[in-house]
Amino acid sequence: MIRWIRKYEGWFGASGAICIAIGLYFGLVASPPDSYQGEVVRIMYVHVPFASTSMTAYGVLTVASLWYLWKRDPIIDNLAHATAGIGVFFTSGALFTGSIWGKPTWNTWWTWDARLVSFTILLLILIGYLMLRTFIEDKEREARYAAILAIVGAVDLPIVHFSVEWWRTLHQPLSISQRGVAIAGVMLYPLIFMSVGFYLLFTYMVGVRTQMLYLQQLLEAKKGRLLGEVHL
Amino acid sequence: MKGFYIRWGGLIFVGLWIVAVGTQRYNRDVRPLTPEQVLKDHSDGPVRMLGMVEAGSLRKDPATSQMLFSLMENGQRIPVVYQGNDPDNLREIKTLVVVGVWDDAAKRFVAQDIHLIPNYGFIIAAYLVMIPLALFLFMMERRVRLLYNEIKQSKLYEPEVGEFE
Amino acid sequence: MKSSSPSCTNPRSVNLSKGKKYGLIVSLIVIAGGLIYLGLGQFGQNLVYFFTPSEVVSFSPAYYGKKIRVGGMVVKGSVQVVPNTLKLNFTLTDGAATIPVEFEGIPPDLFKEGKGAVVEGYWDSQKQFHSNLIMAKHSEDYMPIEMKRAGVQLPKKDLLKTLQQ
Repeated sequence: MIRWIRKYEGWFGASGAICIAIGLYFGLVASPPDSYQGEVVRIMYVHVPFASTSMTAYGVLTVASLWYLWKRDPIIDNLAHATAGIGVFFTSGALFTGSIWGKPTWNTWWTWDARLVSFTILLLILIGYLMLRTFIEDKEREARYAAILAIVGAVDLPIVHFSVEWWRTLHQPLSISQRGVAIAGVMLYPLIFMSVGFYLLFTYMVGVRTQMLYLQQLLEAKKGRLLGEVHL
Repeated sequence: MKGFYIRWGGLIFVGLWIVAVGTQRYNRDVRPLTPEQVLKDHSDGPVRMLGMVEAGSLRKDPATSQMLFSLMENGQRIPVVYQGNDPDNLREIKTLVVVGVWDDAAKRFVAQDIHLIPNYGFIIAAYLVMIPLALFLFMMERRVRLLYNEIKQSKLYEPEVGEFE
Repeated sequence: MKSSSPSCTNPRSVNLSKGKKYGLIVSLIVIAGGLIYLGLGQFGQNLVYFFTPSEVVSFSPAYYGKKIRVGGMVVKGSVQVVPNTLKLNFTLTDGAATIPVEFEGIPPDLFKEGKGAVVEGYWDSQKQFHSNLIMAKHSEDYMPIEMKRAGVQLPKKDLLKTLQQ
């Protein structure tokens, strides 16, 4: 798996960078301002990719955790660990950009609205996941507990997604849903490019971080810092 | 390692170049002026002026169906007249950008278009959130490379052929 | 990953050092506390983020003077600015009931007749809502001005339906 990552990660990174570059051009220069929000709608092109990538990150984390509990393959645990670390970055990115978008549109940086709160809970779960991993020294146990935490925390995922449909919120409902796509074509292109770019970038970052965690473990193991037999 | 630094250096270079071009274009085409600046130097072409519509100043001329209001910024007041498409964004106590020319003879600003406040600061701030992400990626990539080097040099581990080249 | 030794399913337990143990306990308490605070405290009360005008109208007098949020659509033609002050009067509706709102302050730029707004304030015994904070609630559709002028409709959720959830 590491070899596979080594071989293909560059393609993900490069294509992600190209997609984001195109998306930035469309988003900041070529796309028109919104009829109601004006120029500030351009924040959407960075906020939505951040948010959807972080949700995907959590989804990947859940799947990897389940897979780990099933197969007990340490590299999958490294993958889950890497996804959580990167997920924290994307999740806080979504919260920051959302806050910056909220001030000029809603007139508030933060409010106790179902979407915002459930999303913050997602961030807290991810931080808790990483902390849990830092404090357990036994690798196998660390991986098992963390996987369980991640799977339990996945309950929040549908809540985040549907919060804007289920409850009254200040956050607007889903733009892309069963009702159709409520974004005009010219404004959809930058969003698609940025989202695809972010997904590719995320894949690349997960690849890099998985390698990093794997190598760290390998080095520690070879230096004999791990107690017991190494399960690499 | 060298290739890695060259790649990131190139990325930073491209980023800085884009920022420079963007700033230049912004200053030339997009940046709104204050009423003071508009009064000081009368430019021939249409300019963008930013200000808040004064409370109680907005009225409609029934004869010509023009909208009359005064725009205020830093205590400087400028009368504005607007005629055009439905003034969708016009409201009192609201900061707007009006596009038009200063009519020196009639001492008023003739607006052809009215835009919402652009809030470029917010937009830039939101996009800057991507920088920590890039920094994080840089640190990770660097760490991976250092780890590979360390593993290769430490001779603690004999890689299989083709695994760590 | 080729080798998976039996030790991975049969780990040796390791005792935590004292400092780490405290760290673990403290951090878990902080995270759990944060989750409980978010989950039960604020969130539980505010699962209903705002009330609709019809709900507010039917409230018992116990609600007079209590700080609440009301969300609705700003009735077209109802916004009146009191000249030379920062006071604003308008009416909020959810299609069934309306409530008059007296606002003092700077409304957000997106505050507009016929659009959504959430106001924070209190409801007095004269059935008048007083507020110092307006939050604009925008819909999920995005389109350029030209399309809007052309009357294009995108498949969005009806604002009034959003309120009735």
